[in-house]
Amino acid sequence: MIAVTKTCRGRSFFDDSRRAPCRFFPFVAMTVWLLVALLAAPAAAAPPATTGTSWWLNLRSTAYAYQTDEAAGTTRDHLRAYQHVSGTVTGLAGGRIKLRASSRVAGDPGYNGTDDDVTRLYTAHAEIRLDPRLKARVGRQYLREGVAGLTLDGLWLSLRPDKRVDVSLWGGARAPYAHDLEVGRLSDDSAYGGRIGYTVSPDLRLAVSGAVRERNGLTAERPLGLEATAAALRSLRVTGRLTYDLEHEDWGRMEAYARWMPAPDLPVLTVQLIDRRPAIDAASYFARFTDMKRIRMARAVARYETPERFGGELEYTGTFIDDRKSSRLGAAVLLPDARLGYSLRLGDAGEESAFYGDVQRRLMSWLWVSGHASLVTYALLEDASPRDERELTTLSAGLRADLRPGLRLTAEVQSIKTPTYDEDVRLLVGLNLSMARGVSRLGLDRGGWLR
Amino acid sequence: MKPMIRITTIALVLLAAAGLTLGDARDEIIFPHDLHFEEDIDCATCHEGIAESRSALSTHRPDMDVCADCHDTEDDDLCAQCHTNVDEAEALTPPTMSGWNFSHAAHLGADMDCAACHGDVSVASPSRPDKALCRSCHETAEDFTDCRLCHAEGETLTPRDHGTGWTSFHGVHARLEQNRCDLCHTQSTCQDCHAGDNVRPRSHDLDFAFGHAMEARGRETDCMTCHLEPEYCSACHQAERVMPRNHSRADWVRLPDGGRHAEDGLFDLEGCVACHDAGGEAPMCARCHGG
Repeated sequence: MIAVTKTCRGRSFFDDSRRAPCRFFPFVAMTVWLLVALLAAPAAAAPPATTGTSWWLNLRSTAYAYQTDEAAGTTRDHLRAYQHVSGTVTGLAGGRIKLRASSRVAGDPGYNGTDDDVTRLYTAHAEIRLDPRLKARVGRQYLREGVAGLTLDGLWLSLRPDKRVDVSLWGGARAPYAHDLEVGRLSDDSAYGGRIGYTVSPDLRLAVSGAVRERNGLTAERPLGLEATAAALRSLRVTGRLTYDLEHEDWGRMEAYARWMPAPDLPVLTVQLIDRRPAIDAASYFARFTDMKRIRMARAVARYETPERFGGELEYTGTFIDDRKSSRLGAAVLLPDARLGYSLRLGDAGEESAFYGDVQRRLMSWLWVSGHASLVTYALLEDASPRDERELTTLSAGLRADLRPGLRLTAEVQSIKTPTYDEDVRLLVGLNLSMARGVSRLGLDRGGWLR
Repeated sequence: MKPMIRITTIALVLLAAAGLTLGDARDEIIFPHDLHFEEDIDCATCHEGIAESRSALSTHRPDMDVCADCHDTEDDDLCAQCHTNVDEAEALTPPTMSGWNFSHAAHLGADMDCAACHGDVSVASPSRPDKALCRSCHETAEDFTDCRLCHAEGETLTPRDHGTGWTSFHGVHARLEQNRCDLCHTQSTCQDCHAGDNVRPRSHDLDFAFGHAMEARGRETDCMTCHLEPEYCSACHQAERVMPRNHSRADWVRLPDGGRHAEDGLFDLEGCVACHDAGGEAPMCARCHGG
């Protein structure tokens, strides 16, 4: 049986003595946002704003009830609560500044242990439009710029000198991996880079990008990438990227992707190919092992769906690492409110046979119900004997109710039968509140409850 | 490698063949904008009513009657001047426009000229504004909060490729074509699902904890899209005392050749790093491997 034992990482701004009461923090946060909601409600009746700022606020509260087995045959009840808060303010300083933040607190008041992911700050940044063609963003932000993908505590600059050209430069510290409140330290893990994109024609777009990452004072990665996206024959879209790793002096990753959408009444075909070296950065102890095999992956999907939403889907995924390979084949039947499928996995990664079904139906304009079931037989090794096989059964049933614009209730009962638990029933309840107020003529004008 | 090459070749050949087979040579209208511009013809001569237009549904492209005011449209020998496929000549197809609420009148009334959106109009084919250009002025507060500024009720705004299988592939697009994502989405779109608690919306299936080893070994999805640090794996595996099955093999570590762990390490070094990387410090591997 799984014993839940987690330790406090102590990497946040709060010291341990202040973190202990955090078990109740989500519930305090929920109370606070209910008060905010009550305060915000009058905004719905307020006259539309005509100038100034727009704001958007989303509060998502979720409680998850489940039980775990502890040592000596005892059980423990959990009521884990999550509180997400995210918001955006635009139009500050005459429309030049936009602020955005997103964070989450979580805790379990019924559990005496500490937790390592109580508070997370996903983003917190200011975006400043210095010029119609020049934008800067400073703070914590997701970054996907060519070869780089990370959460950055730093600065990002975007320049669009011409309609065809876009340039970005960025740099800073990598955010702590758990997105806790501590600002990433440049001395621990820093990165900088840039990307230049050029639109040759509406059907062809090229970009080059590069990045340097340093970890503990050592150069960890220096990828250099070339990307191309092309549309051809009206219905074929091909995109690819070559990444050369200057640190390892080798092709780090080669990726191609093609999607063919000939016509609405014909199947859509998708092919994805990846050839990459294992992602081991040069500052890692493991970089000394240079003999590793490259990883090659292929995926192909054919999918057809009628306007009435009947259809089918076939998928193949294969991974090849030298002479070891792993494959998965899947087929699904699509119905207007449901999907039934089967998936078979064979090879080095393990073996799995899975039946699954999803249903989602709108009962009323404001009420959706959904269900999911799966029956999986799996073994974590190739050519497994029946003794190594395990069975998993999952069932869930839920509803989603739009109680009023901007206020959504979610509830779900989950049942999981696993090799660890004979019977594991969980309850999930969530409440989502969104509100906005702004200056535009057709969107945010009324403010208050929006969605 | 061989299966990979075979699959790639077959897939690309099939795609190309299908595209060529189904590709057609539909008639298109040649309209040399530059020649008309050089003749100093007023915009409204061809684009009648454009200055007062308050909807993108009215395209304001000239029909043949307008052309006939200056050109001999009755002479069959001259058809090819404007039509690329004379045998199947068609009337000018209005462009498929989203943003039905777009108002030329509002933009021209705000002292913007044609070039602000269409670029240099003295060239043969002035450009049509893309959404990125619209967004350079019309920035919305958050996802989907202000769509009606441009988009009318009844418009289909979801791209065709966002079908039910989209969740399997959207990560690829996000990596390779983020500019396209940014046209409609902000970072909160990602966070709605990838916030990390896997509660709602759910990024992983309910039974994911039991089968994720196969996903990780099969590399079907890139775990590092979200779980960037090896600590993410080791924090849980160490706390739950879960060890990979191959570690319990009798020949897992064997001298002098290293045994099975040396062989498996060649194929799955990322798997070693996931638990044994010590953030730059020498891990337990250093006892034998040095360093």
